[in-house]
Amino acid sequence: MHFLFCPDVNKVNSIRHLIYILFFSFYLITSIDSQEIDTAIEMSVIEIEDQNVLTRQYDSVEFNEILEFQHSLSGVLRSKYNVYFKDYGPGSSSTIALNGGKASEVALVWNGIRLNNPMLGLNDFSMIHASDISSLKMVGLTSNNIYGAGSVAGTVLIDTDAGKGLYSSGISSGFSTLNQWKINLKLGWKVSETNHKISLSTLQAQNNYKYEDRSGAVKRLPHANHHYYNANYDFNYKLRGNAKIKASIWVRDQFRQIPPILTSTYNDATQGDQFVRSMVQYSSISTHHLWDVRAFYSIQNQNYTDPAINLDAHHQFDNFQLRIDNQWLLPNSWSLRYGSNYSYFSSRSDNYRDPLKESRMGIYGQLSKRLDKIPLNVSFLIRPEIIFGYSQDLVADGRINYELDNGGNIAVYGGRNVVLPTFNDRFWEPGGNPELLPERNWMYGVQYQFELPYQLNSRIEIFGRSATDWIQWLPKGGIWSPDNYHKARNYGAKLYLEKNLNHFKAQVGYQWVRTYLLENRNEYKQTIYTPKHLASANFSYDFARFFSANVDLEYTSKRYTLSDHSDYLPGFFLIHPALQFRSGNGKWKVVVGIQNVLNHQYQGIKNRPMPGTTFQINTNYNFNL
Amino acid sequence: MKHCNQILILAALGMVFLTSCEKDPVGQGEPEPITFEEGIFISCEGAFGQGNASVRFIHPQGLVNGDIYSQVNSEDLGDVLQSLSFIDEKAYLVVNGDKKIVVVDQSSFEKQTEITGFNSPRYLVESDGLGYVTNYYTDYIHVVDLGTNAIVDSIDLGKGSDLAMKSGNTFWTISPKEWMGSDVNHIYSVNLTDSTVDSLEVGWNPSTWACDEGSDMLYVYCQGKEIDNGDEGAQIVSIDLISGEVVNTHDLGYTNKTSVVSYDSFRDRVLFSQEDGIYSFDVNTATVSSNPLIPITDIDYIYSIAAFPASGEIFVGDANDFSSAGDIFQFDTDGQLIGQAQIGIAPNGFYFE
Repeated sequence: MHFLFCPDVNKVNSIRHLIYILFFSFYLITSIDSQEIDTAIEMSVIEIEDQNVLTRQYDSVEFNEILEFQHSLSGVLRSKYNVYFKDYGPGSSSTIALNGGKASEVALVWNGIRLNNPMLGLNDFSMIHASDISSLKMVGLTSNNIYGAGSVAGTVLIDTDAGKGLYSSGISSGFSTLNQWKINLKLGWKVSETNHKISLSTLQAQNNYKYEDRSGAVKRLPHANHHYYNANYDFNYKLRGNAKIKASIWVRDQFRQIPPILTSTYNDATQGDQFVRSMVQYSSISTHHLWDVRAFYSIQNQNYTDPAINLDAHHQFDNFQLRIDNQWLLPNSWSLRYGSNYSYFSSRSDNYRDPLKESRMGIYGQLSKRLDKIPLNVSFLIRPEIIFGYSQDLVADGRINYELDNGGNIAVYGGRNVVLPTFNDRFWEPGGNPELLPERNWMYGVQYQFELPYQLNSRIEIFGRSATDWIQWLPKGGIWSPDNYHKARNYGAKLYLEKNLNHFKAQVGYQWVRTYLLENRNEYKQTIYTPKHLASANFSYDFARFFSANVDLEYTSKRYTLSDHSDYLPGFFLIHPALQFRSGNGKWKVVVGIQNVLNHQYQGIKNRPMPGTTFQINTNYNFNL
Repeated sequence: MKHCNQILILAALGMVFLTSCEKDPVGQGEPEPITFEEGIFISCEGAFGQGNASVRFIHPQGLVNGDIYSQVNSEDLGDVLQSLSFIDEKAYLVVNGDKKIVVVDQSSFEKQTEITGFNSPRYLVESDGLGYVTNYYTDYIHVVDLGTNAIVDSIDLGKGSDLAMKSGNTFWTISPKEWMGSDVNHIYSVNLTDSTVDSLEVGWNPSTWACDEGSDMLYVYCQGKEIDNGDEGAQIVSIDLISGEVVNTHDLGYTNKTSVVSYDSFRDRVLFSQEDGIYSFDVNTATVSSNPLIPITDIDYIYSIAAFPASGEIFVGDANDFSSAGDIFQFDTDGQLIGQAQIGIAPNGFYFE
């Protein structure tokens, strides 16, 4: 009887069932439609709107100077996409939480390469600034599983690119009353068929902003200096035919002081981060295929020091990746995306007993069919994930998309994904647990996009997730150690409205989400730092030819800081107005803005005060316009 | 049982203090404000990094609701309250995460000052007007002038220090086991006259202790090495504090398990926790109970134990998941549950005043 409880047997059975169900469903749906289809249909040429093989189901976040002005990518995403960040304050770390999930459940992809941090399993978004990247896209729950393990709650795509033809060169600089200034220089040039772009930026900040402590006394945040130097180089070369080579290098050196929490008198801790990321890509477009071959190498260092406790901890990891993707347009409106990626990690940390090495591989195939009789797209994805010498698991999903007569569509999706334990979870000394299982998730949802009267674009999404084997660190035998303790549930709803007129744009978003653990002493209680309600609105208006006004509003509801809900941070509402002036020839722009104009005193993390009203000015001069 | 009402514990606590209470006169106007001179203090270290440490107090009339420090002083105490020390009508609150010691008047619990400049303070022991403060991550024991509340000296122990106590003119401390392979099999002593440091060999990786002040005996719990190759398992080592010598060593038959301990002077036994409950070590017969005196049923994580000297009743602090309110349990001297109450986060110590 005991084998009933063997996780491997259960896992194999559930995966096998899933594969059967997926294929059987797919066969049923497609066979209904394919019986009368003429097999001699001429294949159409692929129209490449975007060289993104993996998915086209994403939301592009439009960039402008006002967004760049916010410096951090987390600020952009919070304003434009209603994303919640666990934010320790300007210059400090900032981790994303999408759709009520955890930071380790969001994939970050740079130029088609998944940026993995195998030690922490998450990315610090304070190390990416809006001015460093060319485009930003958010992949929703309907189609993010193709990015593999760890993309359960969503995927963020960032790109840097030399662009087509002569790149716009320019210089921008900004200052804020956080005693923060930044400068960014972009140079682009074209030589024969090659395009080049260099972007250099630096930010120096004291972040010694005022805040109110519990007694109402106004103080300045100490020990919060922050600076970084960032360089990007991008290159592309158009080969004969429809082939292209692209290469990118991204180098960053960042330093930050760690401020004390409100109850503490001082903190001498500092953190330095450096990374070099490089990738080369070969793309080939033919009548029926869109090939991408990418190679990537990165090295990342972190040094955390705290003289008070004689701590000088060094952590380093290297990552090599090779991936091949193809989108193949088949007859009869079939299409197949398939490919493979291989990752090799090596990691050295003062908190690991030995250097670590690990190889991972993912192989995927996504078969899609557009039915002819009815406006329906169906697709199914299977993606085995293999960690050599540790585990193997499966990511899979299915999606049905029905196009409505009025231009809207309804998408129904469901699938499975896993979150892999991090190196810290498995190998931290002391307490790491090498026997940890991956967290397993079953997801489902419905998304409805439609147009309301007055050309109001709308989207409603309802989503849910059932998770098992959630990892939690708890004291065990006197030391903290992780284990697969919990079952969890996550569900919610999102609403998005957008209105575009000639001189006026408006975006409004709202999210309600519930995330809780089961079979736990705090069963059904919302997990900590997961706000139930998020709302954001952005309005911009062009007027008087040279001016545009922009205002961002954001609301974040109460966040519990303790799992039994005995303590919480109250909700907060922020307004960020900005005014932009542009010269007649468009070369020169100035943005003046106020962050948190209501001077709301709030905290992102317990006892970590956030800034009150902050004035900012940013200017940009473009050489090439 | 988890939701056992607090009436039980309040009634039991009333019994605990029955002998020390005087009957209040009836009908004499406003009740007098609670003072904190007599009762049980409970240090709750809080969730790491969140600055929500608290001090709870069980008055002879019952458990005072909420954190007495923040209620009196209208401010949060800080991050990770490691220990309390009571000296000359003052309480010294050692706040490890904030690297400070908060000094309050014991009776009113009003804050008097903060002592800063520590590295990772853990425990404070007083001798002749000086406070000796152990530091987990540095080699130095800081010496504080308790009159001026300033650090005036330091003693180079050569390694980190944790638990501390004083016997006669000797300061004793445990040095924490270092991570990744460096094991310790000594405890350390400091002669407070000339600040010379000495050591005493005990079992492997001493992690905590309990003191019988009446008999000048110290019982050191050694958790043992990660792998026991013969004589490296967990032990209880008995030390005569007068002679400074080991007088008995008792093998526990397992290794690499930490514990929390307390001396029960009412029954002459050492109470120590293990995964399945709280066991007793009879100091007269040097034997360990074959079964847990208090089996773990509704306790998630035993984080502190203390035996009330006058009655032998046993208080247990349950840290639960360290990110939500903890619980305290009260048992009679035979291990029968008397009461239970919810408390602050991670209750790590009981102090009987």
